Amino acid sequence: MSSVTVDHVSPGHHGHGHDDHHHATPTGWRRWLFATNHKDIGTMYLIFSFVMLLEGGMLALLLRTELFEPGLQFFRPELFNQFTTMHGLIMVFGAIMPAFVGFANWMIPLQVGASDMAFARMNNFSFWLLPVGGILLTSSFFVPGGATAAGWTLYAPLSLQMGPGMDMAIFAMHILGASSIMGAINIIVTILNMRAPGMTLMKMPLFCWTWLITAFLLIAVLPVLAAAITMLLTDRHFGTGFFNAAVGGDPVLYQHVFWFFGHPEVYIMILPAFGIVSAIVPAFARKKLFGYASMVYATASIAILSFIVWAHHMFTTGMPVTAQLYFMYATMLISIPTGVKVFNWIATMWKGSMTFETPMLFAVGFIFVFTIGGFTGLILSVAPIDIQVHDTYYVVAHFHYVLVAGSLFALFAGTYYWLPKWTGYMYSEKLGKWHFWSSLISFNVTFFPMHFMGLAGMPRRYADYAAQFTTFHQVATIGAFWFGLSQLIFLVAILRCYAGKGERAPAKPWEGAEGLEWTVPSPAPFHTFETPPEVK
Amino acid sequence: MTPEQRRRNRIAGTILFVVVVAIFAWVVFRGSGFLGGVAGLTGR
Amino acid sequence: MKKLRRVLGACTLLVGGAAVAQVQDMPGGPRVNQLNLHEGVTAIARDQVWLHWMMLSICMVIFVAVFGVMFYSIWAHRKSRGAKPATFHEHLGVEIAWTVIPFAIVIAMALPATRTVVAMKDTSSADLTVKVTGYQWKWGYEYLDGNAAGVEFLSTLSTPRAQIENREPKGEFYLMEVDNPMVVPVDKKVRVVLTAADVIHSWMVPEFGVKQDAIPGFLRDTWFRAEKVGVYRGQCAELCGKDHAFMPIVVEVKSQEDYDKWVEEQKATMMANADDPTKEWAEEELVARGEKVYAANCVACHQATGKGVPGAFPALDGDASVLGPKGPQIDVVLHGRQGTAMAAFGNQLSDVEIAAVVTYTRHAWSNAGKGEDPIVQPSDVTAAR
Repeated sequence: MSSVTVDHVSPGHHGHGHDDHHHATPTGWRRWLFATNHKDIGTMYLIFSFVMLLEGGMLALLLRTELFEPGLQFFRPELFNQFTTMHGLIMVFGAIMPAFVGFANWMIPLQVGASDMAFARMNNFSFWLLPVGGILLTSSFFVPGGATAAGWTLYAPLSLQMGPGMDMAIFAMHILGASSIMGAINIIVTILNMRAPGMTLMKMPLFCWTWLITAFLLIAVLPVLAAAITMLLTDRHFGTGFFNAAVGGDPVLYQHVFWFFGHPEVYIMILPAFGIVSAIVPAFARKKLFGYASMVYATASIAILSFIVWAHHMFTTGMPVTAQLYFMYATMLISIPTGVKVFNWIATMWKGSMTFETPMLFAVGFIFVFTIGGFTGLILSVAPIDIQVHDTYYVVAHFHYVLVAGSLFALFAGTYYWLPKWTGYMYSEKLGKWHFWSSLISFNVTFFPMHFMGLAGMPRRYADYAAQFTTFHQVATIGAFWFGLSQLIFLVAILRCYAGKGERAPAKPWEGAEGLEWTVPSPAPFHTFETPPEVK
Repeated sequence: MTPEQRRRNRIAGTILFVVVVAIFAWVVFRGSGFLGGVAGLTGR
Repeated sequence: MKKLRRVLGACTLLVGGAAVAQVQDMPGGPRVNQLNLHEGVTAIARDQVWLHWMMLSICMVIFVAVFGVMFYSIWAHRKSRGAKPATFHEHLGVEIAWTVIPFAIVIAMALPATRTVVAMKDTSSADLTVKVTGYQWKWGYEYLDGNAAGVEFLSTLSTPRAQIENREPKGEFYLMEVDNPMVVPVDKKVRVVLTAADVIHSWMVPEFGVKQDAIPGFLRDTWFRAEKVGVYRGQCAELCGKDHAFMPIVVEVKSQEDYDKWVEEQKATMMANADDPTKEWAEEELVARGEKVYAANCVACHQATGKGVPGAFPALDGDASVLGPKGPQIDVVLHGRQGTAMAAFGNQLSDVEIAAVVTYTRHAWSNAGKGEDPIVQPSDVTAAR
């Protein structure tokens, strides 16, 4: 958040034909409610997503508490499944996606040399839809029947049986989805139309490339999700039979439509993370990113492939053998461009001159732990193996490795990296390191045993289990609490920066960093690049 | 932002918005029949 | 007082320790702290284990190589060691190599996997076909051919509620035991045809390497050939509502003779149990029978007290349709209630059972036979189908 209240007038500003801001920076609640400034909106997105992270985390701790021992100790199974469902929905739609949009808002205009996003007022609307959606989702716990308990995937026909909490979740997801779609439109148009002269697409920081590609994915698949949940709504209340076999519908149709969205969705949640890591590793290795062009092509390949692999989530639904084989082969292919990216990051590190401040710790940690998740994904793509571990804890382990040790760690990395630019203060390196090591270790304690449990047959979304799984469940629960507590270190580190404690940050606190964002002061002034910079 | 940039922004934004709505409509009306091989909206 | 507390504490520890120490590997089910897939009793399961070891080994080799390089670099190329940064940032040859070689590895992985996928999908030439139906929250088995044709029964979790609610110590087969297991002969190809009555369930037996979704309104199939006599256990593998964790699968694999004997016993029992739906039943007979049906089918939602769960499952005690004319209540039990979890029990229960359970609800708790039509005969139910 910019603590400067006076407009920064860049040298050489001659009042060109475009809009001149000759008003003072807004103050008070109006500044935030009516914000059109990409930095303010970015900040609000990040605060919202962190609150949602804590809420989703609480739900996880509640369900892991029930799972500490076999037997039902605290919660009825219906309530337990509300926790698992809402944990997923809140983390995906409330925490991870808005956090990356927050980064996009803050950094894309700065990195391409634009004064703001293309549609600044729509940007405001995009953000303020989020608290509405979040409140709607959270309140669904308190209506008769409670929140929906159909799993974040909301499969029909089970979701057709749910009470009013399900309808609230549908409306909330429409709202959150609309916000993301508008954000994606904004990002595409900003990147395509508003780059500074000389900033060709192949000169853009990779973070902008990954967001450009992600935004196209969002445009393509969020309407599909909207259609799927609308079809659920009409099946529930308006007499349609999309998913009801009794009138000629098909429950598996829901799965096709959902996963056509769902698979690209997981790449939506990881591509911006790749972009963040691709900014940080070169900065701290003091060496240019290895293979910039291949990184762009690899990202694009991953995105295109992500559209044609969805049914690997449906290997047990009984599709014909040709389909089973096709989806297995196509899914295995995605490991290739993903591997290329990992190799390129390591090649960037190779023969660099590395230091390991917190952003680099999280970035390297990401590469290491995300790759483990990538391997279990490759194993899952082998259909005969998937038949054994589908809907077991093996899958839970896989996606938490890529979403937590992947996406969330990248978000942490990016936060520490750009926090000096946002706040004007350096975070405490000691707190950052504690946060990193505590999170890395507790994360693995929580999720590594789940691989074993899944291989042994422990099913997902179970409130109770055979006693033979007890030890691993207890380890996972202890790890989960430890991981949750570790995030408080992060909170303290950030709050200290906003409160002005710590060293003042220079414009470029990181010796090896590159990019236009490091040419403006820290904290970044309210208005930047009102005159587009010259890019050679 | 120059007026030219504004104009191009508006065009790009409109195209993307239309694409979004089109995908939504297609999935509900045609896509349901295509993927599931059944009627969908009207049943049977 | 202090001594008493110390003794009590020690006893608790002993009992607790004993309870923990008592957890053994479950025969046919998960082993304690099991690390890997079940070795399996079918060729398919063994193929899956082999494939998994192959994938895991290749991934481990790549992992060690790649991260060996990375950690070496972290140590050797750090600024504090005086490393100066090189300036290279591309190399076509290397980039092509690390695209083409992984591509070749992936193809090598896909080849053995293809063979197993094709084998798993081949349900032809089965020796025995069994139809499996998923219900909320139990399984139904129906033998379609051979000497067992016509044998059908429901298979429900038999772990007592008291164990689940921690009022009793947990038994050896906690959560993975049923009243009526599926029984098949050893070394015979069994084709399993699956469907569901309400929502999607999934039939999983890890020792067989089998998992297949049971989808309402559709038939799917899978197969297994068990090579060893024994009892094998699995669980429902698709979220299906509140008791998703409480509808296990137990398959007993017997020798051919023992299987044939079992078939005869089943047929005999079915004959004996064949309730005559045309005769007039006495009130006490209906209520007594109804109480058993209620305990096996209704208590999960409507509760033993008949009070249901406010906001989720309606109370039957004092309910207008239970105290009113019999027609509407019979209709709900037979056909379920659209858009809720109330299943259509007409598919699962006989006319006698439905008449009995409806009669029971009209007599139980404060309803006490006070309302209209306290007795419902099986013939009423037959007429209402």
